[in-house]
Amino acid sequence: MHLTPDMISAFADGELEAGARKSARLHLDECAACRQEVVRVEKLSALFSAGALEPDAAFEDRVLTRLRALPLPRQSFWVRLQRMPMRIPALSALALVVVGVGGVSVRQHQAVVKAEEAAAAATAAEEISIAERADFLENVELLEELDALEALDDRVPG
Amino acid sequence: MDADAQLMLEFQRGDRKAFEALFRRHAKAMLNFAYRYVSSRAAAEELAQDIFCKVFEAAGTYHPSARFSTWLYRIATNHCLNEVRKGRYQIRELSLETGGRGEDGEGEALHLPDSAPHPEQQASSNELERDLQSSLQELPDNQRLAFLLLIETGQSYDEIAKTLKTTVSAVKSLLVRARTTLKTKLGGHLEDEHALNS
Repeated sequence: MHLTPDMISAFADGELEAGARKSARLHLDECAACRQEVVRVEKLSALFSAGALEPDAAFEDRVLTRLRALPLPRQSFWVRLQRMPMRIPALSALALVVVGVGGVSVRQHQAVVKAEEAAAAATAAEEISIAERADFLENVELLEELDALEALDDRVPG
Repeated sequence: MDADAQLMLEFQRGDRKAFEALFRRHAKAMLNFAYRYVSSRAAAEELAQDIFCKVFEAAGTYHPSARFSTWLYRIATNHCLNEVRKGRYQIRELSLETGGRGEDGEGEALHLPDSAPHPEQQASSNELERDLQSSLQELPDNQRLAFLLLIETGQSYDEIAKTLKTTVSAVKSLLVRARTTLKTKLGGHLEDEHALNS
């Protein structure tokens, strides 16, 4: 039984696992047809590799000139985020800061409301206190007497 | 972290020289990959140049969890599939008699290996190169790409699978089919002991 084309190809490319490679070697030691097929696969690759181009200076200059004219690329947000050191604790800290800021904002609002209520209450209390100290209530009777006295002045000639 | 990944990180921090170093490290392999894909040196140089510019512009998306060459050649194969199909990088007809120049004198010289001192060997090299390129052009895109990634970039089956976004099993199948076709078309050269020495 011969090696399959897959196995011959993988053997020539060094892609067989150790056990399979050992088995293939043992077979190739005994089978000229499969040995010849491995050689053909290797020769095929070598034919293409033999005619390899070498980049010349003009090519390199053209590419480098063009690259140097390009603006530096931006990093995507996710690449920057993934590069953050201790990224999980950082994200947790970020979440806590966001929640904390939100919590502070709510408390501040509540405090403002309470302060306004307190101020209003204080104002009312002060007004009541002033009113209680005022003696104008006592003077209401005097004012009534004044009206009566003015009325007497109208009746007395002179 | 390998040297390529380190250079990419430096480039992402704004060091242009790091990308130029990456270019020099991969210029030859990319040029040959492009040449075997489009069969013309002039078109290959233009194709390789465009690919490196695309890689430069996409550098912000690179993450070192991926091997740089896998990422590089994924961009290259996508560009080849998209742009070459549109007719960019026109393939010029190669002439044996005129050494690769067209009848109107335009075109380009057929690339020959430097070590071809004898006229008979030179003619043989012309014919070999023409047959290599024409046989590659007859392969379907996916087979051609898998084969070129193997022989021009040195990628493993696993890396080729990642580059082409397929499975290792599919890569094995592509390579077997490509080689079957190429061996049939290039059979005479495979038997010629001088073919590898020209």
